[in-house]
Amino acid sequence: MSRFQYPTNTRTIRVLCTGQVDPTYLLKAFKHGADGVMVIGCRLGECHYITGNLHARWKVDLTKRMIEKIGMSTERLEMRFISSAEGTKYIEAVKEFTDKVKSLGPTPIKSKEKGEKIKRAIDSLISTASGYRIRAVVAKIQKMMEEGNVYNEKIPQEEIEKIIEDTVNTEFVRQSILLCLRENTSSCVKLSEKINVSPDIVLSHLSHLRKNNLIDVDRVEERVPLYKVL
Amino acid sequence: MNELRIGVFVCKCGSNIAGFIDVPAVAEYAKGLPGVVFARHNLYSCSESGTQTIKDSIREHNLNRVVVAACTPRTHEPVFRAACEDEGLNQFLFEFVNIREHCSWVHMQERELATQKAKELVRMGVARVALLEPGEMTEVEVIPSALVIGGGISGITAATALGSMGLKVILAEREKELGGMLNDLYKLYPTGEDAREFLDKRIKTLKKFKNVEILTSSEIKDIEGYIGNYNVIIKEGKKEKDYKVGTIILATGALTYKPKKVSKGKSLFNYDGKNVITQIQLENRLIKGLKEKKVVMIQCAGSRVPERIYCSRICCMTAIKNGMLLKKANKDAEVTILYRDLQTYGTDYEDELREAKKAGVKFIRYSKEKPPSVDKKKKFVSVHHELLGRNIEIPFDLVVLSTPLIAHSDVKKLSQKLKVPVDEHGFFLEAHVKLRPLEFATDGVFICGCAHWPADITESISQALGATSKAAIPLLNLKVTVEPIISYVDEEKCTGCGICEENCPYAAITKDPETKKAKVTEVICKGCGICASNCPEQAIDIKHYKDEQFSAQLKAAFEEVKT
Repeated sequence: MSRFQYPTNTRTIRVLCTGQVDPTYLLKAFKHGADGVMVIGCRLGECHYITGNLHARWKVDLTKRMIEKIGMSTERLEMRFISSAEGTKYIEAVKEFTDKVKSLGPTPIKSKEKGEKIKRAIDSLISTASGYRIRAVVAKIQKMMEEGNVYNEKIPQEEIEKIIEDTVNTEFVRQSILLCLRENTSSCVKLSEKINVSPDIVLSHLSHLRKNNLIDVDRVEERVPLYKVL
Repeated sequence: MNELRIGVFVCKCGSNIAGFIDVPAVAEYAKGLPGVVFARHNLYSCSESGTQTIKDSIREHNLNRVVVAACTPRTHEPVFRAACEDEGLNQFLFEFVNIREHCSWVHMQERELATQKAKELVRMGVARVALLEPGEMTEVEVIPSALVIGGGISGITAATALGSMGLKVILAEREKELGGMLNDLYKLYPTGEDAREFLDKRIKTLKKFKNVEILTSSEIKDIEGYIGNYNVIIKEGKKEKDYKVGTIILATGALTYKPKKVSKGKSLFNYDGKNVITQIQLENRLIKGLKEKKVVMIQCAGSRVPERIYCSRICCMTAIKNGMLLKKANKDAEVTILYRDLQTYGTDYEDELREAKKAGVKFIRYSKEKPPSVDKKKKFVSVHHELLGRNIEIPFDLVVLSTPLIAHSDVKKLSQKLKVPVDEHGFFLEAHVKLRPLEFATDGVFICGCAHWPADITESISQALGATSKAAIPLLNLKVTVEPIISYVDEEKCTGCGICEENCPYAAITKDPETKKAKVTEVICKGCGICASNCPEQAIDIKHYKDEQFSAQLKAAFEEVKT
């Protein structure tokens, strides 16, 4: 037993395979106050559950895109591929990551001015990551990369990344709108100010959400419609 | 739900934990955690008296959840689970917190911070145990027969051992003959036995067993099923046949690396298969008798280089043995072995090296940066002599390259059929390098010999016997129990989109044709959770590793500390 020493400020959560790592877990860790989150799986191509780490890679990629949206450094999240026989590599990874996160400083969640706002934003992200659309897209990626889409067209990685990016953007705005409306009925302009997205984009999402029976007009005040969650 | 009554036991592990963590303080802290009605520390929780204490406490305090903060579940979880079961507490209501490997041993210089971390790890464990649910082991019947894939020395050994236990065995070999690489060898180290005689003896013994069915020129077409109930289709010659087996031993061996012959430009050390050959080609020529007198061997030819970083292990001894054989056959033979490092490990092999040196085999070290070069026109090998600090030229009649063992090129096909992983070099990857070295993570499939990593005959035989004893356990018990840590589907939420089915690496989840909902075949599921994290409706969860259990653990990890 080598008993290599590493920093004490790490907490380990055991999963059977990184294949189970859900973006919502990573986001919850940040919500509760993690300064950094590291996902460690088998070496690529050597997954003990065959493909788990390949799936995890996309989940981590997605989550990075998400936290970036709310102004958190993507460097606070990292995935490494280390086999169970590579103790020293594990120690190195933990040390490096700890140093990196230290240099980034404490999580913005702990900040007195912004903390609450970021926490709310993470809640929107968690709803986004729980939504059908984003989950379906990310779940399909691995197969699309390997075998192409239903028309047997191989899709280049950049294009797949663009699909994820677009889906995150759309879903994040929608979930943020829903979260706001859950608290209070609100108008398009007010929502736009609250979530920092231009009114025309908010309006297009409002109409989409309305079509899907997720929201409706609650009442009209001074010719301005106020929306509510259904 | 009944009122939570959690008991926490913090182990000192002698001084392994107590030497670096304030164990009584951790136990004291645990008393204040939600749901905890009892907490104490033990000197050795796993000892007879330690487990007795746990059992007594379950009874006296009417505990319905148990947390042990000690060492690793890899070795000790069964001990504590059994203690719980003895007192009628379901074993899945037990949670193991590792404060040794994850804490005391890795934070030896920071007692205060390590103690703090231990408290938090216990807090996370308590948060998780509160949400655990009882589970039942599933019992599966086992077909008492085995399939051995590969008829080299490993496969022959495994099939013979299983045969001697009276079990039905199917041994499938791809080539026309059994024996694998042994067919090409001359004499074996360290005994000097004749390879042919050795092999013939083994095959003769194997063939005595009527319960062993030997299939040659055969190929595995398909494998389906799970431990105890595998359905295998084997194509022998032109006919295909179905077999039902309980366990599978993989013994497909390896190949020796043969450098590419290049018409223009340079091949590896000017390899041409005539005057520059590989060790296995030398073995073949030794069988017929070798005329060449001046022989130069180059070690690590194509191994321990960027494209093949591993050490092939068998080449040092092979070269030493063949060098000795050349010397014995012809006193005037000049044998030079150019090496980077010599690995003559164990108790016998170093003796062989001394013998070879005594017999006059020359050993010259070269470095990776300045490898030898073979001049075929002038018939000498030029090498930078590290001790002399200059280049020397060694005349040769024959150059022998000690090339490494490499994986079969079609290894992926088999690995996909068996649903087991291979490493970056194409060697099969065991479940755990130390704790489960001859098994795969997939239950019921075992590994031995060179398919695993380069091994010599002694090692291949040991591994084959080890794999056999492992593979025979379920076959002789006629049943296996499977942990219920598997995925399950909330049919209310499932929309039948099929994403889980598409991505399951074990084909354990399929859409039920009637209900159009996802359905898990419990004994096949390994609980990897790919289906759960991919399910767009979040309709899938893993038993014992549920969403809410992770969430509770995550929350507890970052709670403000009150000590």
